[in-house]
Amino acid sequence: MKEAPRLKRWFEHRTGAGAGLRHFMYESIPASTGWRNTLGSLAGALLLVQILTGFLLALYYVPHPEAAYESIEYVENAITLGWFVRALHYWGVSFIVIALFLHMIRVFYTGAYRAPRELTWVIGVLLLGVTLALAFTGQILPWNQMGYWAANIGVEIASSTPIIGQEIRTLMLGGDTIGALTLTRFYALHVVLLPALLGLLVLGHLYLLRRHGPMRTPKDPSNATVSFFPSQVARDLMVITAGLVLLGAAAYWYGGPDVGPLDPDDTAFQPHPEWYFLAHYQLLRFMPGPLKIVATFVIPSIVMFLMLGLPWFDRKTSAPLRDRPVIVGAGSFLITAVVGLTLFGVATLPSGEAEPVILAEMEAYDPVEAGRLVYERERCRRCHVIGIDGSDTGPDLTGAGLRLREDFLRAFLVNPQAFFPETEMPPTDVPSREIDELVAYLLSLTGTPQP
Amino acid sequence: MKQLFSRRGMLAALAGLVTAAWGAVIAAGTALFVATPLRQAGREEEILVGRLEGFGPEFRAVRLRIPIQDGWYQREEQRLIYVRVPEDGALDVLSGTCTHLSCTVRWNDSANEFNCPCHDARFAPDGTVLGGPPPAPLPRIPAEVRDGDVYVRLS
Repeated sequence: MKEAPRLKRWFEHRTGAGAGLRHFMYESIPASTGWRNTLGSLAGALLLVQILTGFLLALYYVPHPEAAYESIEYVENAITLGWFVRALHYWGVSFIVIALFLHMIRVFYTGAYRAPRELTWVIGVLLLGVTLALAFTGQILPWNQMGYWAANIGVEIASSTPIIGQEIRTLMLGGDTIGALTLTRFYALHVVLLPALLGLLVLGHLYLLRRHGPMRTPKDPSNATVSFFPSQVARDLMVITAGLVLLGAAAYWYGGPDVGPLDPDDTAFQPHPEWYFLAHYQLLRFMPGPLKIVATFVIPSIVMFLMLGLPWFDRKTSAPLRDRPVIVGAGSFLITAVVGLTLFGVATLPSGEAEPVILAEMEAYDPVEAGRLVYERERCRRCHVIGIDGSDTGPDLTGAGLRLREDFLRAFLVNPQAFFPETEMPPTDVPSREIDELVAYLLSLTGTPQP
Repeated sequence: MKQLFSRRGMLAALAGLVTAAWGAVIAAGTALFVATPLRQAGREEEILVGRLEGFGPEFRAVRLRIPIQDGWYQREEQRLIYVRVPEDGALDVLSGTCTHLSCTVRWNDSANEFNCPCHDARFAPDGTVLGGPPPAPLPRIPAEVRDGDVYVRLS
């Protein structure tokens, strides 16, 4: 046998990586392992796509109400392949949900969740939960119409939890309503806590899979084994390749979600959740009045309990379907219900826009008063005086509305040095809406005492 | 005589105790940090809606812009309310937020009812539920008139 190169030997001696890889690749698995055992690998590969695209998006994304949408727009429009990265991250969720769903159906009908693989199943259910939590927290980040309303509805659902519902609501929102604090909370969960949790759960899931190996199917009474490499590795890679090609095609053809920026003013917008939440969303429709809590809390809790406890409800040692009619019947009912409600939801989605609400012309919003608040907040009074209020370091603004023109004020506030290079006045660095308000306030100053 | 604790068992228990104590300190600090919003109770606010003579017996939608302090961030919260003054003169102000899942309801003039776009809920002009899943009527918002101006009290 030829001796390995020195560097390779050195590395192997220090790390044992080659032996580890061989151990991993030549693990013996039942000879009946086949295509149906590839769905978990597919979900794992799709997860890696989410991690990579998520990292790339995080290079630009800013979790601030005034910047979030624009930072995503920038990725879409100005960054090479930015639109594609975002589309992959968006479509990746749908692909993972489908892969996990098929994976769980396979495990359920083959009975692979039974002893000694109970905890592999439990971790799998938790993985589904964390995945959906990631989907939910990710939705609001672009600060667009869809995400805002989806978060709104999701938080309302969580707040119907008995006894501590309002506290859950406040903790999720970081306050009383969806705002800047909600955005940073969801962001921190989406990019730090939940991915870390997901990683740990995946490691646990894989560790237990290696410990117990894939389940031998009931139709395979032999003890025949093969090694993981090359046949199963080849199947895994083929399924992963097919999945990634489909994902790439979906991202390429459909792009990212095309929804306008968050605009609570837009009363014509028809809120609806992403398709993987539609089953639950439709369930809410059928639980009127006091039954609301059945759809928001009772049924989800029961489903979670049944799924987590499945290996202990089904303690039969034989896996064939006919030996466990109650479990298979109940599971099939649940699967049918989820698929049925999702299809029903997709079929009844409102299309296009609704008639907008016709607003009364009067509005409580008073730009002059809003401008006064900006004036206070920006501490203009430290240099300017209105009447007897403020300091006379800079020009007196008493009666400014009688002396100054609107277009001058607008331009001057943003860039004072363009008009008077020597002036000590700093540029007013506030959003353009607040400039408008400040201008309205200054124009309202007519020298008569303010009410 | 049998020893109550072995030396090794005692040390193991001690190590466990120290680790658990650290865990408890970190968990308590984290909980206090995260739960700060719970201690910042919502306050009531009086908002000027507009002049009384602007309203008639028909519902009019009014968007309120409520300046709020959102942590470190100042912004406007928007709320849609419906205002009318029926013939008897008593001001009638209803929240435009569906009691089911907080979507915004629309006044449907031809059917004389409010509709919610999310789960097709229907509310009567007085806010009671006519159909769909909402668990409660549209809340009436306390309002008063001073010097001909309409004010509402929001919490």
